[in-house]
Amino acid sequence: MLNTFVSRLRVPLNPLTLHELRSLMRSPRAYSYLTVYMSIVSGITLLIYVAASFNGSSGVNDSSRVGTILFYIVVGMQAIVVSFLTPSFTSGAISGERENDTYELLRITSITPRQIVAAKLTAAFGFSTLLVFATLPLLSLALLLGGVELVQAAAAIGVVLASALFFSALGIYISSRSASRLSSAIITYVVTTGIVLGMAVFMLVVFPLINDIIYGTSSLIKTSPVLGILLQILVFFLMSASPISALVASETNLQESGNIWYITINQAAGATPPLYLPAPFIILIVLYLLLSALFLWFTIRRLDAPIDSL
Amino acid sequence: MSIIEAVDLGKSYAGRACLYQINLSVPSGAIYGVVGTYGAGKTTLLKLLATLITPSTGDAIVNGYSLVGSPARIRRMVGYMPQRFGVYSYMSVEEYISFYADCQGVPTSERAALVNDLLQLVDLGHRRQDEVSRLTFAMKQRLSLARALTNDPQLLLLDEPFSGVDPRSQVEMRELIRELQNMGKTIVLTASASQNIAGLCTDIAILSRGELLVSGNAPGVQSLFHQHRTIAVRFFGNVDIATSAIKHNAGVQDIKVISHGLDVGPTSDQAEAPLPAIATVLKEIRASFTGSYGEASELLRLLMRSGVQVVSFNEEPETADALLIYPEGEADTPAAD
Repeated sequence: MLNTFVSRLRVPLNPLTLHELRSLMRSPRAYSYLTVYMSIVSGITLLIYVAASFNGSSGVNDSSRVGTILFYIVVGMQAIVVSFLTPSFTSGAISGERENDTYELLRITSITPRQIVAAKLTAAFGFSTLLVFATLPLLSLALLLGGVELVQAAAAIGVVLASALFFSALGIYISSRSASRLSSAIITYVVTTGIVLGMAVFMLVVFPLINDIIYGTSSLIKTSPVLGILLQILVFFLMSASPISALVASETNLQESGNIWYITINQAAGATPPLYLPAPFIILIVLYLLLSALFLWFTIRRLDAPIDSL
Repeated sequence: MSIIEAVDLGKSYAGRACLYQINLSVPSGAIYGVVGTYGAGKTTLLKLLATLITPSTGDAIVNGYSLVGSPARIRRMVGYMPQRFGVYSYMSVEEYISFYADCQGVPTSERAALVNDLLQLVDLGHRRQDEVSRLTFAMKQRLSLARALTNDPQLLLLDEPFSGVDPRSQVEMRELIRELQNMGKTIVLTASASQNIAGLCTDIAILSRGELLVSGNAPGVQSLFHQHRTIAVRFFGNVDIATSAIKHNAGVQDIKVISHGLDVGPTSDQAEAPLPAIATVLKEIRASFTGSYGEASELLRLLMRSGVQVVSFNEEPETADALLIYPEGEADTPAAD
């Protein structure tokens, strides 16, 4: 049935992609994840809505406040769930094939390494996209309640989808380099946690310190404004490397400057003109797309090598 | 005409050779058996020919294409059945074959007929809706063979097709392999015991510790083993007379005398202190023999003329397995092809 559907759509899906999608949707894991995720997000949304109603919120301002909180929660949940669920699908992408003794069988067919990677990516990214789209009704509720603009929601979804793509590509790459599914899963989760949570926590701790160095009384910056600029750009890029810190920084910038597309950094003591940088969510999307392409390219190269060199 | 010509084909892992520069030739349409113990390099050889691994030394020409230069072209004409059976969860027998046919680029319009034909060929048509994981090992072996045929390969590489299956399934597999040969396919298969491939293979190669000990057509290789065979003679009469009749014959070595199942000692001792001849006791002489068939016939004639009453005269040829278990350097092995 899926074959017929695809052939009618004329979507160029290779057989492995069809198999991956079919296996994913036949497994109880996909439905369990979707059910648990939707229950949690819907439950929290309902709680917020009920709490707001009990507080007697009826005005436009209250409504927009509820909408904003709802937006933050739905987007935050999307970012975390996508970042941490995607590796569970990709960590066994290649290492699992090796463990199941199916990798050799694939390599002896006409399926190319590029098609193998495309199939694994489509399945993992496809499921993450399904998770994102499943919560769109809740996001639209936030838009209806006000306090959130359409472009804000689009930017947030862009960050979440870019994260899904990046963590899929990362998981597939690690899987191609790991001997077993278990080691691949452990490495992928350690790296993912480091990027998503570690980076966000690190930036929360380091950011005030950096600000103090740049805008405070540090003699280091006073004698070297170039170093100050470089330091700010570095901090800014690190902040944009994690979906959570990128979303928080983009939202803070929007609230403070009213601008969603770029961020203005004023230099210490007005020594230099203000520095304009793209908003963190834009940097994250570009960075994640580039890194995803890089990881996928490395994976294809690795799979292109004879089996004994893997 | 050869479908495979391997020249100095070798493979090393981390500097440790597991297949030493072997040279072999596989005739087109042959059933080519590669025999060797565990770690002999059989699977490595098959993986090299399947282009799954690259050779460290040498090359092989498979149907006119170089293993090193054109692996993709070779892959299209080769069907490979690994020793271990790989399966995806939730796949039925039909889906399994259909999936690999799709991976081999078989058009959708031809796929159903192909799946049907292949399942009929391996006698799994009645299990087409069953999950692959529920099949018996022998059925999985046959399914794996069907999968290897999805691209209609000219050359089939079967890694231990008789391993772990019951005798009846072995017979079925042998029949299947013969049928595939009749369909014009060349089959290279591995086995750890020569009895599995006896009477099946048209050509045999024997690998030991990564080295090719011998290769050639089956009768030729078998004749080499005939140089190391045992002659067993059962008779009534005097043991000394019987042993004297044959012991000076060229090709006779290590004569042992067995009486009522008892080894009565070396013949030299018997010559010094002859045992009493008891005509009514059935005796047996076993001797290593490296002579020709004509010389074996001469042995029998000498025994008959000596006056002993010969009950049976049997030749017990050694199999390839005997060669495989000889310690290194002890095997009197002919040069490889």
